[in-house]
Amino acid sequence: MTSRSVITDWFLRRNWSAFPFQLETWDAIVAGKNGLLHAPTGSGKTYAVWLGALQALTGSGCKVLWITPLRALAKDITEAMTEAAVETGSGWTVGLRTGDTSAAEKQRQRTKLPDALVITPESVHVLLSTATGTELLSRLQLVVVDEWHELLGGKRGVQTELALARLRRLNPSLRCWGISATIGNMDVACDVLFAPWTSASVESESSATSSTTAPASSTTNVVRITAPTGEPPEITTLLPDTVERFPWSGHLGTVLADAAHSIVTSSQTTLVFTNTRSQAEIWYQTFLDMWPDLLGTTALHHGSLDSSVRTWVEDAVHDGRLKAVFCTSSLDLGVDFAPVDSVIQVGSPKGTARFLQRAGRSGHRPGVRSRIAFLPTHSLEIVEGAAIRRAVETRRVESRQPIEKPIDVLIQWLVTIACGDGFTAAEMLADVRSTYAYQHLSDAEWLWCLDFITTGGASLGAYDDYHKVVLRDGRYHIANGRLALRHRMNIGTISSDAALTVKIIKGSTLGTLEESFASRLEEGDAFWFAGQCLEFVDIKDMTVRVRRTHRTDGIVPRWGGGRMPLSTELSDVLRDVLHDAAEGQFEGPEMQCVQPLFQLQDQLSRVPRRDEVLVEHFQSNDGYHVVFYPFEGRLVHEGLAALFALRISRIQPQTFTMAMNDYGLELLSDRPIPLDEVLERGLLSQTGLTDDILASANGALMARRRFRDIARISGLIFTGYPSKQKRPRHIQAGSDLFFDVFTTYDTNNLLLHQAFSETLTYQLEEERLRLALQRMSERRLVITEPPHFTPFSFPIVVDRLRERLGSERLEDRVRKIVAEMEAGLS
Amino acid sequence: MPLTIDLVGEHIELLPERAIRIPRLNALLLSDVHLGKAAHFRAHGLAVPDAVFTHDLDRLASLASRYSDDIYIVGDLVHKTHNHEWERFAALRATWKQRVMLIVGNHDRFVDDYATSASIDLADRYDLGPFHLVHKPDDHRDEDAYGICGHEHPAIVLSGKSSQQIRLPAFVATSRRFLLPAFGRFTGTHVVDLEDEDRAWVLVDETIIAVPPRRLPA
Repeated sequence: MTSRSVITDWFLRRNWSAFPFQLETWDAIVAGKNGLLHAPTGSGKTYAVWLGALQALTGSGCKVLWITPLRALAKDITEAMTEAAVETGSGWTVGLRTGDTSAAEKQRQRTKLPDALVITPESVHVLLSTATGTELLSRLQLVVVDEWHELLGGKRGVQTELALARLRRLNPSLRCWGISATIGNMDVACDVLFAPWTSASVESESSATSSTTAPASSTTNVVRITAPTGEPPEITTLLPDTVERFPWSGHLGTVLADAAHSIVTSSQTTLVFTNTRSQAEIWYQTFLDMWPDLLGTTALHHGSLDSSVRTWVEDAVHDGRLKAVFCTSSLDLGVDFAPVDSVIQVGSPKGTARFLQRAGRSGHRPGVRSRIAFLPTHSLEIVEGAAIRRAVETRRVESRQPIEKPIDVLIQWLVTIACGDGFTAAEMLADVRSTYAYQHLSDAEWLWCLDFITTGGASLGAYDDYHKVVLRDGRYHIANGRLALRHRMNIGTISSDAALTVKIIKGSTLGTLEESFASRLEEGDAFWFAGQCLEFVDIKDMTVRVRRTHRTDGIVPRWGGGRMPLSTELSDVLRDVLHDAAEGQFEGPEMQCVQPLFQLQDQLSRVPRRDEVLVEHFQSNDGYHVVFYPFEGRLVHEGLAALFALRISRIQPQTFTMAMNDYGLELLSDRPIPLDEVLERGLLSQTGLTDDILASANGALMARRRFRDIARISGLIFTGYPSKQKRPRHIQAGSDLFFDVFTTYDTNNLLLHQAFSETLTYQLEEERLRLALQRMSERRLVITEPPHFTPFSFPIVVDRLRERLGSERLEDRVRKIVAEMEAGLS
Repeated sequence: MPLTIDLVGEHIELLPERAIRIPRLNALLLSDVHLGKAAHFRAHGLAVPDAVFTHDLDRLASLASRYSDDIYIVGDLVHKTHNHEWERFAALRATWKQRVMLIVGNHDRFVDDYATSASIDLADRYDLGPFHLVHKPDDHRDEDAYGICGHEHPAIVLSGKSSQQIRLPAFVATSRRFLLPAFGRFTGTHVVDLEDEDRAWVLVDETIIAVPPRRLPA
């Protein structure tokens, strides 16, 4: 235990004074409370909780478990915590445990336990899969969940929930603190985190006034502390001198490169965020082509680059050696980069929280405000500059919905604990149901899971030699050590697609490519990667072997992962902005800039008001077009397009080409589309919607893809041991084969059901789609018949052509179309 | 419904049970049963529904009772380890009157010790009328007669509109040999590329459909 005065002395020595929220947090931790600290990155949140722990806790053994989502963050946090522990003379040590921790270090931690352990959710599970790890964790006094908002929306959040329930079982007096950045549903975040402390199935220690069903946030034992948010960031939109009236993407960017360059030169360090890895590669290349003098002070950073490359870049940013880094979400999180004083967002911000997070990467020095410039990639996208500013002003931050009842994660968890101390059915069910995720787990579902791991589901009984989890003296244990070893190697929920390492022959490893891209390369093909042009040699042992080349004709790899849609919140603000424009209000530089475009849109068709949905219906050389503008984000539009195509072709059989972006969707047919008739006959109807969605989007195929992750998480397939030679080939079967045999022979398999429900919920966004349809049917449909493409429809059309034509031919074609249309207008 | 085709002048019946018959030679041919695979997986803690094995065995039983033909298994009768699935197969085999011959495949390692007691003849390769039976297509030599092979677990990808694709197990006839689909249902498939002159028939549930050349992926 370290006294408050020692802590404040240390602050004084560093010329700091504690913020009120830090003092408040310290007091609450010393008072033995649970709490959620709501604070942005770089606000001193680590010290608020860590120094509180130093003041509050005594005793030997591992006292604090600090759970953090990112391995990269874990290292920096360990260092910061160690420094504080040493300099305050606490005598405490801090250990680090992630998938990267060496066996030797783990051994050291076993013999001399650190007072605090920084860890990822996966590593907590690995510890709980051994008896010694369980023993170590049973003496914890405080568990801290850092960056809770990051974990919340995914299966790793559920993993964290399960671990918390178990840790609380091991020590009922365990305290918990969460640290989260701003999200739209903080109350839910709090309820999820503290569910094991407030659930009816665990003895509640809160006062008699709280009923068993009361959410955590209302119980007296969980305090919520909010750190004051600083000044909002300074947002500018980079604008072209003249606005194109027919916008198309991939084009305006380079026009604005000059503006981006002057930000880079007038700043110390600029982070240039793009929405995809390919975009980062392209922008990096464009910049170096235009300004070769930036070579050496410009770098590239994205998730497919080798970790050594990324670490080098991060260190170089830290030391102020770089002017600009072209990066993706790989730099969204992480320790503060003091030299970064400006940020550029290339392309749609997609969501408020993400935009703010990125803006917050700059201005980490006292008295410096965060600065972010939005660089639109086509002229209609300029509108999003106005929308994001309004969303930031009105604090329209996205919510993150917790995942409910994933069966795969539960099965993995049951086997994990069976590998460790084992469990009794009653105790485990109580723990599992004490989490938010599994609060509604039915008895039947629970029994199915238990059956799945003990008897392997549907079985022949007498003949069977299924081995996994066995019941011994009332406790469930893993059947043998070999199974336990294999299970531990596969703990986790992060999917890793088959990725091939990219390596220069007799040179360094650069990063990874997806198999689908690599397999199309032939000897001599050139591609851009890690900012260099590389010539493909061959693929050997999961490695793409390349050599450097001076050619410049390389193609840019595409990485999967899908394009992120505009968030619900930002879409909503965007519809408001459009409404204002429709009413003739063009406020702010962005809207003034795009005014000519809107005037043309209004002249050719219409700019929809808040209570209207615009539908454009016209004919071109390509065929008959219907374009809907729900402004609901790309993913929803994808679903709507497929749904509309299905419903129209039921009334009049015909095939469609579909295209969509964040604003609208286009159906193109070689036959007239009976729009009035299909609207009348329930195009927007909610009846039979789920079936129609699954049928239209080829839900079975999507579910099959979803099932890959589910099969891996639930242990049906494994990605192998870290040393790749030891892949147990004789028990390898693809997830497709499991999907097929379950579909044919075990239709009640809950993992199969999960694949379909995940497809509906996360991939097809059934709920959002349903709401979108409802919104559309509540509004007035305005059907216009423009003579040709409009400013609104043109970007969608170009994206459709892009798929077919490739970039060079596209440019020619688009210029021709634009020239024709402009000629028609004058 | 069986589908009759012509192969080097012989009438061949393709059966939806994933086997073929050559009526003139009193022969029923199938390959890649992979007996014991599901049980092997289950023994290693992987919950493959074992109805998949029962289903394979039922199909074998039904074929053997429907036709009195000799049965030729063109390799990979078993998967890896001896387990209850073999014993149940051997018990079923004991009820059959006809001859059973196994063209030994790369998986059939433990069979030597059990084949005799189960009255199964073994051969590495075998000439049957105008056909040459051998497990791996790679082991089918130029000087051999038209081959009938297993091992590949052939499947064909059919593309539909809006980039929908479906992968189906198939019988494939090339100019030099005929490839049998895997009989076992828990065996996986391997997509084969067809040359222009190749013919293929896909299995859709209980139906066999000839693949029109134009529906093949480019």
